[in-house]
Amino acid sequence: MKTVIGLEIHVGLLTKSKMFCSCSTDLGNIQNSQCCPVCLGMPGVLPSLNKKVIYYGIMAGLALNCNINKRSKMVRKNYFCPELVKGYQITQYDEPLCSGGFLEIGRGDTIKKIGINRIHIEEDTGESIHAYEDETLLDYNRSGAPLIEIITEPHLNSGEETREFLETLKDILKCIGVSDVKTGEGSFCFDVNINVVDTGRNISTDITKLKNLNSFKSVTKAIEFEENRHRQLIEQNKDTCRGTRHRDDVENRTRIMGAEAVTDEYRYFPETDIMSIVLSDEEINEIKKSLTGLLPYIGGS
Amino acid sequence: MEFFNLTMHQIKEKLGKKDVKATEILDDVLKRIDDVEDKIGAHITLTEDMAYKKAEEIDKKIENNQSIGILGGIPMSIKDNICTEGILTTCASKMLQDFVPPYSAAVYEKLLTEDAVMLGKSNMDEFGMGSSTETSFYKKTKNPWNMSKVPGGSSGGSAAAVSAGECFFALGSDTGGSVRQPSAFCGVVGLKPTYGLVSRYGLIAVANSLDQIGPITKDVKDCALVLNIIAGHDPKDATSDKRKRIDYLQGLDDGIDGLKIGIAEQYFDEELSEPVENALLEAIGVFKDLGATCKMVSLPHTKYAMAVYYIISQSEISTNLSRFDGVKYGHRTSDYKNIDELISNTRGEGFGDEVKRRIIMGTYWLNGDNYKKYYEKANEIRKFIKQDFNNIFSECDVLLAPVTATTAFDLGLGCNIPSEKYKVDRYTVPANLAGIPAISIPCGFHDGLPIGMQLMGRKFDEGTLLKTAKAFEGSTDFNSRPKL
Repeated sequence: MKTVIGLEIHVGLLTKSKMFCSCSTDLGNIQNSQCCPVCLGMPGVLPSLNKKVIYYGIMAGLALNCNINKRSKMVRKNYFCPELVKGYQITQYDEPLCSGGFLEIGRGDTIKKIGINRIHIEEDTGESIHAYEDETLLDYNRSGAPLIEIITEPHLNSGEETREFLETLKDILKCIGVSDVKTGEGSFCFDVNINVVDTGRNISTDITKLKNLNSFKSVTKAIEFEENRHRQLIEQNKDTCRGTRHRDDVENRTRIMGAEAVTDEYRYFPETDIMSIVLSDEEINEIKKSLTGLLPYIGGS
Repeated sequence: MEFFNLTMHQIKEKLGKKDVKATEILDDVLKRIDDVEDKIGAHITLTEDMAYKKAEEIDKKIENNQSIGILGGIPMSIKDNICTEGILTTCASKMLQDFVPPYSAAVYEKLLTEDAVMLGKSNMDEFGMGSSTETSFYKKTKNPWNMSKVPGGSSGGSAAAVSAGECFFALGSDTGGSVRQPSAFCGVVGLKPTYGLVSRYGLIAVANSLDQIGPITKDVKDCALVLNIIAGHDPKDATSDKRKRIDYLQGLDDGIDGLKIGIAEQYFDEELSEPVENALLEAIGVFKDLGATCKMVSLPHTKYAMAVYYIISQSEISTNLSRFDGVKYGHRTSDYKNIDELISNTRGEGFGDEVKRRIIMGTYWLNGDNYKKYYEKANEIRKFIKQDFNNIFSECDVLLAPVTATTAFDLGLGCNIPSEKYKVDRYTVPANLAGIPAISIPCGFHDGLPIGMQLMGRKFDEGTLLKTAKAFEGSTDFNSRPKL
């Protein structure tokens, strides 16, 4: 029996200003003090893409041995939610900034390559604050702040391996200076996709998504719990439902968040208010050069 | 003395010679509004106090021999989907009934910098969706030439206001003909510039790959004057073009000797009414007399334009209008128990039928496999339509076509038959899909209603369009004003 794990990692970038406007990305200031018509998604305003976000995205891509795509584009991911000011998130989908990289974990004879499927740039949303019983407050300071999303191949096979991968990744991102990778403050958080394969019988459980984990401890605990649940299900020949689960740290278990539709129904759609990102070899090489001093230390090439 | 029927460049001359004060012009225009606005209903908001403040400021400057902006003392109306700081901006929707933007559109700022006098916000179809200004939540605008007819749309208030002398020029926006069609129906000049020539920052998006702001004026020279101000790069609009600015007044009177005009075969179809066709045939004669050569050309993919337009525009509409959810601004329902109800009931109450119809259609085009089946295919065909124009512009300078099949239609007609209404845009939509400039100028009358002619040109070649329009205007007499 084999556990199969893939990760989606959100990393808050250390740019001074937000992704599409000049508002500050500082954390911890008074709610809604870092907002303007653009990051509040007011009618008529247009996004202008912060070049530094592309730059940092490329740095992360190079450090993780990715191909930097000379042409990538922004899309709209459509869904309704009060934290999402425009009714869509500006992100990347079919043409991401970076694709096809890897990160090595382990030492000596036990080195293992974990594939990176892609890295794309996207905007963060605001936050709901459930301060009172029947009222929700909204803070849009993070709305429009830049993120990269790193999506791995399903190459991880245990909670311990996952923790090691995340720790290595954290060190690299910190070293190249694109993020402060603080797990507690939301600049480094992860979704885990997990299932169990019975290689003998050639059957597997449905993939479960564990969302918004933000500490290494909760990741390993959640994976262990989920691993056991899936193994029991497969041993008992029970159906497993594809679904999204939420980690409950207090009770040390995961709970179902509601059966998410299997296919994404986000109606991805080209964001034509932003031109395609076109990069030259020179531009990519410039960034590579700025990293050369660091690459030997972080294992990149 | 009456000023309201003069053109902007005539007023400019009078102001320059100190024959008249800005406040006197404003008095006259406001008196005109008093007289006719109740009948026409061109405006949603009037900003008289603000206008007087500005006019007085300009008079003082003139008195002290200080320089004033190019549009100093000229009263203007702005379509109500263009954000104006501190002034109600409703998009003619209940959704934005109390929306006062804390920022201004780039074009509005440019006009204010040139000392134009802000007079009011003009009526339109709700969120620009319609061709008669009848989908406005607030009022129906009448055609100044005949009160039983529509002014066209969606910039119907802007065109009617200019036509009726309620302002000297107005801004409209054109997604599929919304500047040109009402200009044709109201007998004024309306330009849809090249996509990217005029900043869209602050224009509340309908279909953002098609939208473009354009001037509506009494004659071609005024059109060039306004375009001079509003054109040019804006770092806040990533799609705005970086090329050097052009003075559109220069060469305006050069004539069109040797100009090659293409007559688009596919635009003279079975839908085109006889009076409009006749007016255009006569116009071709005028152009020949002016030294231009005219020949039939073919744009074979024109027949797909409407299908492509509706798929692309509705898809864009469905995501552009998602931001109106009642959470941060605009209408919010009082009938909700949770966030899902808040959002859906707000949108249910705030949007009119036509807006909902297009959001639903757009959502359908983008849903699951439909994206490939419809949206992607429409975008592929859009390229062929662009290519058609590239091909004909390698052999001619300007393309002549109708703006509309008929003159202005009756109020209330076709309001309940969406498919009929959508046909109205058939001659104007291709220019938006291709991103090319197109102008509508008066070219005749039928039963007391104006007929418009459309001239399309190469990307960023507004200069040739204006020069051609000016030559036609100079040798004909269709630029008259309605008796009200």
